[in-house]
Amino acid sequence: MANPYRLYWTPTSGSFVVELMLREAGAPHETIQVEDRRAEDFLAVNPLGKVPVLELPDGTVMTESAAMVLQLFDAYPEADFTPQGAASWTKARRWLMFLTCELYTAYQQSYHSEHFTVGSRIAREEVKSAGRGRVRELWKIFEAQALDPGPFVLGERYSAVDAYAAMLASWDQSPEVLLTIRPRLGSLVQAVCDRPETAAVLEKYRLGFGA
Amino acid sequence: MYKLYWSKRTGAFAAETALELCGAAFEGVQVDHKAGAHREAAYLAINPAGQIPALALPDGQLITESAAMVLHLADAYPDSGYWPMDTAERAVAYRWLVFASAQLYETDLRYSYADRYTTAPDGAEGVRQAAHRHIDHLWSIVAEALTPGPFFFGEELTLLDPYVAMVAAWHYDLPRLCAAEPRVHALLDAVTAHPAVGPIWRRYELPMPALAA
Repeated sequence: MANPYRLYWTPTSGSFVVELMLREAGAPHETIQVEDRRAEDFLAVNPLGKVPVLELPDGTVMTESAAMVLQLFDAYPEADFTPQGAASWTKARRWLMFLTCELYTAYQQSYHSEHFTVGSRIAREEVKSAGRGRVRELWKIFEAQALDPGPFVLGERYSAVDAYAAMLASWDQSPEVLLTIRPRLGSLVQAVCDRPETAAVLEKYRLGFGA
Repeated sequence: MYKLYWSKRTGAFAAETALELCGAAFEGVQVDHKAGAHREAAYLAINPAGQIPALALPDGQLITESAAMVLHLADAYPDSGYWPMDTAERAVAYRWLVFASAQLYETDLRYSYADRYTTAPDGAEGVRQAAHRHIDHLWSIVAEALTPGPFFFGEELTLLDPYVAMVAAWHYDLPRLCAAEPRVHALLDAVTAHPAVGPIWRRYELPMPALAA
């Protein structure tokens, strides 16, 4: 019998989308909460000290949440969350790469400014503030180009890219403001939240969208 | 036919390499990045974000992330032999492609365009220094995955290798990277010596590791 997937996670982290996919796919999995990302035994698993880490049934270890999404597309070609058809595949991957390369790092800059400058506390504030500006600008591009017409990135059909976008939106400093100024992103988030497995995973990860 | 909007030394290199290796019919449209042509109306009408590269697909769809272009071509040309078919190997390829684009590429941007990452007029130097420190740590992690090398999958070149080599060539001090990480140096040597990839590397005027070291 194959081993279960093994997902290393922490609250509020990018593991959210991976766990949601594993649950939606009905994939046998276990989750391991990482108490100390700087502990030696975890650094041996991922030298960057970051979650998520996913161990596949064959023992292959993966980092990078977007890479895990791609892998689960391959593993579950018939799942609801997997794009169908060449044009959808391409669009889904394009926006997944946009979200992970651009928005994910802009949120990192907003929350972990100490990694983005060697400067003082004031310098870190200036980095944070540039990061927040970048976040706003990137959501504007995403809404205009990826959610036209929406509600999902692939139009009427859900994919895990939508869950990825919703996860990033929940990281916003003020999600309720973000979803008001970006109403199509708001509809996407609502549609993701309406999926049966979402609420429990959001709660486990202590993620939400404000009032 | 594909249409690739490219400029020297940009991420278009990875896309052009993938098009070439997959045997896809394409036309290259050079956008003069140095002269600011990517900010002019003619180009913004094609790609409103003004980024290079941009790839127009035969069906008219436009893609802007270089890693997404690689993934698209890997999928569109499954018989090319330049992307693994085995599940475990695909997991490895996805992992390092995303690592290269979301971590390495993004960190290169932090020292190349440091002023964009701070609102302080004199903040760029601090951003640059943090990025230098971070990128060196990231490359030490990549080097571990390049065992035995020279490519990620041993002697077999995949679309991942030119992508990672390109990002390595953008390092703030390439001779230093080559000296510190011999496996990354070996990857650069193997990619630039590849008969199909080397000529594209030189046309994009990416630095040669042998000259750098």
